[in-house]
Amino acid sequence: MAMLRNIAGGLKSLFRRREDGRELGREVESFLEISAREKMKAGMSRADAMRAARMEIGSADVVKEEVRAWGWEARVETVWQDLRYALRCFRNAPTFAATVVLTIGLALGLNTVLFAAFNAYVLAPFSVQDPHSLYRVWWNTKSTIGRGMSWNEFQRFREGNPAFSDVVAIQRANVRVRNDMLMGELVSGNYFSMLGVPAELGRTLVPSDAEVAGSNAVIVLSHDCWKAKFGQDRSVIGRRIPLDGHPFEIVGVARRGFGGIANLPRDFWAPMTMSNQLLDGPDLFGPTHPHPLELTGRLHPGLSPDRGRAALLVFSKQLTADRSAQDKVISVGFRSNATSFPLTADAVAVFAPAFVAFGLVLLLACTNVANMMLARTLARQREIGVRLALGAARTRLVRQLLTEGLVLALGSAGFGFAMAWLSANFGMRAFFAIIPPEFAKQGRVAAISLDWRVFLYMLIAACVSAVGFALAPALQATRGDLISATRGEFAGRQRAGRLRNSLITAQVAICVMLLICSGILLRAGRRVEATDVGLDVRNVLDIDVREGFRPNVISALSSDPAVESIDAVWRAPLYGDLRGISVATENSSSFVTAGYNFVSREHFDVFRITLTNGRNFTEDEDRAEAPVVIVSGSTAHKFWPGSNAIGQTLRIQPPPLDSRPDKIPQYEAVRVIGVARDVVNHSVLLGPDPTCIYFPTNANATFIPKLLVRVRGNIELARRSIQKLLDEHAPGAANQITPMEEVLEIQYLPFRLFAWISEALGGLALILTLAGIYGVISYLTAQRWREIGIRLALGASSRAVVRLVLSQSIRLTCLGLAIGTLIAFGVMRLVSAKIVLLASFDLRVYGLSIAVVLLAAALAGAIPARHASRFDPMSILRHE
Amino acid sequence: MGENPSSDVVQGTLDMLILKTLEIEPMHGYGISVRIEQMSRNVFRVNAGSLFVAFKRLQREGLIKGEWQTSENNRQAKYYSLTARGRKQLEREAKSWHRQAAAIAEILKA
Repeated sequence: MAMLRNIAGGLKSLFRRREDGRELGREVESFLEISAREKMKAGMSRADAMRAARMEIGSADVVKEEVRAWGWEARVETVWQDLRYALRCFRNAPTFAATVVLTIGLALGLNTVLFAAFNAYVLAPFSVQDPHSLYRVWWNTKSTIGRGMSWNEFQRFREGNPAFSDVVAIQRANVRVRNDMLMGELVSGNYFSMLGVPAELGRTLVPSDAEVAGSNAVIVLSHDCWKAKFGQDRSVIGRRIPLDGHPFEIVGVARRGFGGIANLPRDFWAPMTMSNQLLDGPDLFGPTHPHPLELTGRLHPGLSPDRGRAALLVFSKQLTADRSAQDKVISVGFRSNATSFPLTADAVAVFAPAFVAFGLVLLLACTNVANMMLARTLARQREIGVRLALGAARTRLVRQLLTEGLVLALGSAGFGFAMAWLSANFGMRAFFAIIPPEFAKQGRVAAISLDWRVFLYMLIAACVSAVGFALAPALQATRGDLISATRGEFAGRQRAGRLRNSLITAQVAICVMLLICSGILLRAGRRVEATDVGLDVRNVLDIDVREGFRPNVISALSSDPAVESIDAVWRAPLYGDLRGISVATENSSSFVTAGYNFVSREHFDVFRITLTNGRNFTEDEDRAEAPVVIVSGSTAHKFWPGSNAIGQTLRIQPPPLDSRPDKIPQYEAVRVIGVARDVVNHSVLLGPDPTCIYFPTNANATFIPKLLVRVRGNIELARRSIQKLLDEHAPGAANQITPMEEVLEIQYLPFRLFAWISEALGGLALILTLAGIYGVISYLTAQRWREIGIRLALGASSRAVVRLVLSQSIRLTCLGLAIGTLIAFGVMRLVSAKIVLLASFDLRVYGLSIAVVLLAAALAGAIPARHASRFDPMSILRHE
Repeated sequence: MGENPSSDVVQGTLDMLILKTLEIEPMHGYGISVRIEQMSRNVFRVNAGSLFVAFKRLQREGLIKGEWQTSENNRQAKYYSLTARGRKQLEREAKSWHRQAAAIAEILKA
């Protein structure tokens, strides 16, 4: 009640500010009048009485100000006044305002994009009902960490578990639709009902869709997929599309904004019971009981995650009590499924370096603007001095100057937001444009939306930067003593200089640090791309063939004149996984792990890998998967240094039962028949494989999912003709046809991306520093024009003047360079502990970065210095 | 207080004193300040600024209201009077003041 009255009264007085002021004036006037009259009654003259009355109340204006300043409305009014004043100031100095908005806006925009990405993956919860009660659960057994569930286990889990009100099972399924890829999921029938996601169009999946194995070839599309691949055509409902050659009926489109609850958005959802039609591998409902299912459940309301996890552990142990020791559950994995990635120390650690680098650019922009503000407020010293002399409180002035900063920051935030929006949209397109096309088809990224979290972050960042660039100058400018301030002289000249100097030093330090770090990243990227992978990937296509189709595919391929040779492999190179197996030489008892692969005899021809010694596999050896191997040069050197590897024997230890990869050599000892040149099978980051053993295989053997084909002529034409051929003779056989060149490109991509981003940041930092130094030195030179004029008049040469001005900027720059280089060195030492590639101390990068910054500083100082040397001493002295 | 014959009104009690002054009849600002000084036998002095701020505050709280009237010597002055709420508030505050003052006096006596 009292508060309401206060608010109402305040509002009333806010709207009748002028009337209230006038009335107060009258009241004070009448107060004085009556007081004087009383004193006259006591015998004073009128003049004396008036004076006495005034003496009693002090300054009438102060009284009025005191009354005005009371109440919350007064504060609102002050803010409003400050705002108007600030806007008026900027109308008078539009270039200044525009420069600030541009500088800070750019840096804020950059930071916002980064935060938006962080938000999209880590902070923004999935668009489902009550996302924070969703938890993913998995099992850890003695043999497998992160084991999924089998279909049966899922059923028992759903019925009997004590922690979840409902559980869904999910399995990834990437399928080919004509020439395109769709990335989707097979889900249990309760998926949409548990998540509470309705259909935008048609219907979602219902439990009866996923009851009988092999039934209900229906899919629900995501809204994004419907938009991107079907042009938001409403007639898609009821249409049949071939997924890997199997016709599926589109029954609905999920609600806009829903892309599933996995790390990346999905295109479609199909019933789990269609698993055997869409996925290779053992029958999900068959006797082998494979366990690939991922489970996510909704925690009972009121149950804490810790208690839920404990209850699930007890339940899971009971469920597996009768199994072998290897298969018993020893612990359960449990994590929130509210966002793509849980907000953990790891997630923060991944983003932290980027946040630091982007934050530094913002800091740089802030120091620049702080310098400009400082120069401006010092130029306004006289105005500020007059206001102080008229009785303005220092806090009031600081508040005024801060308000100016805030107005600028909010303007910048607006500009930055527009920048962020643009880069979130176009940046994504640009990103997909640089990804090799076959991978772009599969590329999915979480939609980066600028939601309230991003907006809040932006606002906070803007306010912090406003304080950053406006507070120090404001405190500085209002510090002075009254007398010199009203004369327009520098208050605390020494201190202002010190602040400005440390700002420049900081700028140079940040700039050189960013340049060094980006230089090192860049060089590392170059080194990686220059590494010879030892494989001739040009004109090689990687064809992912589904099991059972291989004879058809091979006969079709053999009839194509464009096909030069066909290589059947277990694991295609450059996909980043070379499996290991324990081997030992004949005379040694110690087994060591070596990389291995199964390839057919054409492999060495397809990739142009020369055999430095011995011979290739024969056709018979391939067919029989005979106990002979070809080893890489390094492997030969490692096991038989100094002697001939050909004819030697390698003993093989079978891997432990449960960690078995799908294809392992079935013999205890093999004979080496050839030595091949070293190549990179694994990843360019790690360089040529330290060890690699090739076992023979053929296209009809088990677990040979890949055919690598060397083609003649234009690879794109060949790819299309092969695609056409396969569509005719073996429809649905190949998931994907990828040029191996693109596979290699993908390995370079992270380096290129990092290099581009760090180059952009470094460049921006350099420009900001250049502008900052230029601004400050020319300002300082302008301040010292009298001194310089006198020096010139006394006979100083123009060269001496240039030296005088330049030495100032160079001195500060050198200090900054030293600090920045040291920090960069420290940072790189820390980082290289984790990333070996960045380990080498690159003197050229350090030297070049320092030289560039030094040159920029000299340039930035040279222009004002030349300007100063051309001062006309006569006119300066006359002015004096 | 003996050494310093006049002092500023104790923090927080000015509102109560104003209410008390207005208990009998409406008064203008100067009258109120003089009355407070008189009633306190010149112990309290009222700063004009604080007085006007207090008027604003009391009006906002609805305890007093002001009206322009002609004074005894034909001058316009703003006269303040107690509202019903103000009267009640005065009673409450006086009571609690007496209780506190008595308690403090007891403590000082001990």
